[in-house]
Amino acid sequence: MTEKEQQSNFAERLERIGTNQDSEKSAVADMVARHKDPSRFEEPPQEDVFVRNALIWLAITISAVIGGVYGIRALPQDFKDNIAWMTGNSEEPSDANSTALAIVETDKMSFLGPILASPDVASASGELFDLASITGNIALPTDDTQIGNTIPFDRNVSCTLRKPLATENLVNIRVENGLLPTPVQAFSAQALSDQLMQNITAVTQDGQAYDHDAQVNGNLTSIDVFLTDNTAPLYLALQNMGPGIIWNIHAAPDVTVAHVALISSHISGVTNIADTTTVDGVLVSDFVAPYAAGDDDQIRDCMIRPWRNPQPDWTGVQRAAAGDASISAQMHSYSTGYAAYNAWFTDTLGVDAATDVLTIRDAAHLLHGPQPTEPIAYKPLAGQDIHLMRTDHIITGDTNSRSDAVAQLHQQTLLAAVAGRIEDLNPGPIERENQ
Amino acid sequence: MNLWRVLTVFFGLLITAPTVILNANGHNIAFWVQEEPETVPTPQAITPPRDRPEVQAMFAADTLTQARYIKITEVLPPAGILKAGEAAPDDTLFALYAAARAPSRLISYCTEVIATIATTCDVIHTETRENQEGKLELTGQLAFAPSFDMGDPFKLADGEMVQASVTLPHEGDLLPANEAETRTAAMGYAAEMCENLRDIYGNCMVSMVSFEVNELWITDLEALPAGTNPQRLAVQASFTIFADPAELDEAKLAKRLEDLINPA
Repeated sequence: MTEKEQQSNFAERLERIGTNQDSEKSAVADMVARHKDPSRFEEPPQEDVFVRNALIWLAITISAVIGGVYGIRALPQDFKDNIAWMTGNSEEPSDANSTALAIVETDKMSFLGPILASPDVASASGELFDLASITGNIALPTDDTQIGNTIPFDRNVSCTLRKPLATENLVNIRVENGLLPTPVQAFSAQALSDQLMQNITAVTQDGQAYDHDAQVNGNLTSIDVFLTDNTAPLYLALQNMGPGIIWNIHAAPDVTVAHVALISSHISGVTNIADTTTVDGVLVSDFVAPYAAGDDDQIRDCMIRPWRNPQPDWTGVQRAAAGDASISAQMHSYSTGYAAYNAWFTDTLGVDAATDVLTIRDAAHLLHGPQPTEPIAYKPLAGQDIHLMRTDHIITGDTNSRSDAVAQLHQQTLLAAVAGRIEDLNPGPIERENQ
Repeated sequence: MNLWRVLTVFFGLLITAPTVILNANGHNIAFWVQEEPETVPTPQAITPPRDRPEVQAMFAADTLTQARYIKITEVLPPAGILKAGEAAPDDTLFALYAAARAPSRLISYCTEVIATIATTCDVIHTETRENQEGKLELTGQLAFAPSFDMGDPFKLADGEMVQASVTLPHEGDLLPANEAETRTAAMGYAAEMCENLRDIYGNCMVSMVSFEVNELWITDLEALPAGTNPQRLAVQASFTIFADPAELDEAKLAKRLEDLINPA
């Protein structure tokens, strides 16, 4: 390359460099200018999506609300109660619970049906009478009434009863408890043994002192039954769920009681019947184990536990209808129990258990048949012989003598069982002699 | 933009909350509803062994506690519960008689207990039942205060009670007879094992010796000499050591017990 060519190339290079420096200056200037511009932080213009987002959130909101409502409804009640407790709202019960709680028992209406103490007289029609309008010369029994003899009869060893004849009218009575006292206590050796076993176990397993006051008592109650139906001989089916009952029969003069069938959860009896009246009885514990929840949900042979069918006037039924789930379960157990009992009743007596039934929880006096035109003579328990299911221990007399007899029976049986002293239930320690 | 973020957080919580509710029990949910303030964990003060009730109950030298006992069983026909010449009660009362007489019958075994491993012994619990053969089974727990040297568990500043059980050995194929000699020998053997363990770990308690009664069938007895006691005893013993859990655990103690019974 000549010197001239070299000079020319150098000039071109200088010119190129100068051009590049100008463009760099321009770029720097642009950058500085942008840096000084306050609008440089603005985001680029976006598409307007407000409507789309609003629709999406609306859909989420609706889904969440619907899901939440149904989800909370699906939660168990106790879980909802826990949530209410944790959120401090437990003092404000739900509508259903507040409605259920507003249904309260009264003196005459309980969770499990009517309670009619003396002098109310209950009838199958539901009409209430005053005792004085049904009978005269009233002498109600007390704990100390002196009765005649007890006449034990053997309980039916099978769960069958004779069917009412076509010529007989069925008197179908089903209760839980009698409300009149009696001077009679009756219980089995097994019941006595069970009580003593419980007392002994408390000593030998729990280290407690022996509780002499824990005794089986077998107290019987009584109910007056006024009978006025004289259109045919009567077949009495007297059923109870609670403690034993002595059914005191007050038949109008032209009424005939042909047969009495007792279906009872405990030792029961009947009194003031004619010599010609036959008596039979089945004891629940002879055929059915002590009740545990759900036991009677299924129909089975010899299910003779006399459940009463829940009725609309029971506060339990009303609270169940108001949405109380646990009470609803109890009422369901009553219904299923009744269905199982009805199956046996229908098969045994040939009629549905609801046939002309006079059912009540607790009663002192019952009337079956029309209201008498003239008062029926009241037949007191005093001096009367009582037909009673046979059992191991039947104790009568005034309150004190019965109490002594029952205590003595417990003590004698306990001492015989221990074969020594009651202290032997908890013997003292044995120590090495050479300590 | 801030509004969307708030909404996102809010609905995020709303959607996840049912999952929390449905998957948590009441305790788990408590943190969500009412969060406890975060606390800085502080070192737990060490309770001296002497002040720990469960250690006291196991190693108390002179008192009877439910923590250690001899488990004794009697198997007898129903009539065996009656005294000589006593009239049989109604069948419904045999179970009651058995329950009522069990303490006074079973405390007689305390003489064997104080002859071997205890200074004091008492019946603290009895149970009765009818077995499948229709016989009565009376089972009792005899609490005892040990007569052997249990060492000093309270020397340790801290530790845990370590417990293991072992079936005590016997000679021959046949379990030993249910006799006083068998029982006293077994309790003596258990005390001896415990003293060996004490020498190793510094303390030991026989927390239980259990005598299980097995009855031979008639067909079994036919092959045995006449007069063989049909009731045989399977004996199990439990031992408790108070030790540093880093040094001793149940498996190690069980292995040690096996080694004591079957030395290499």
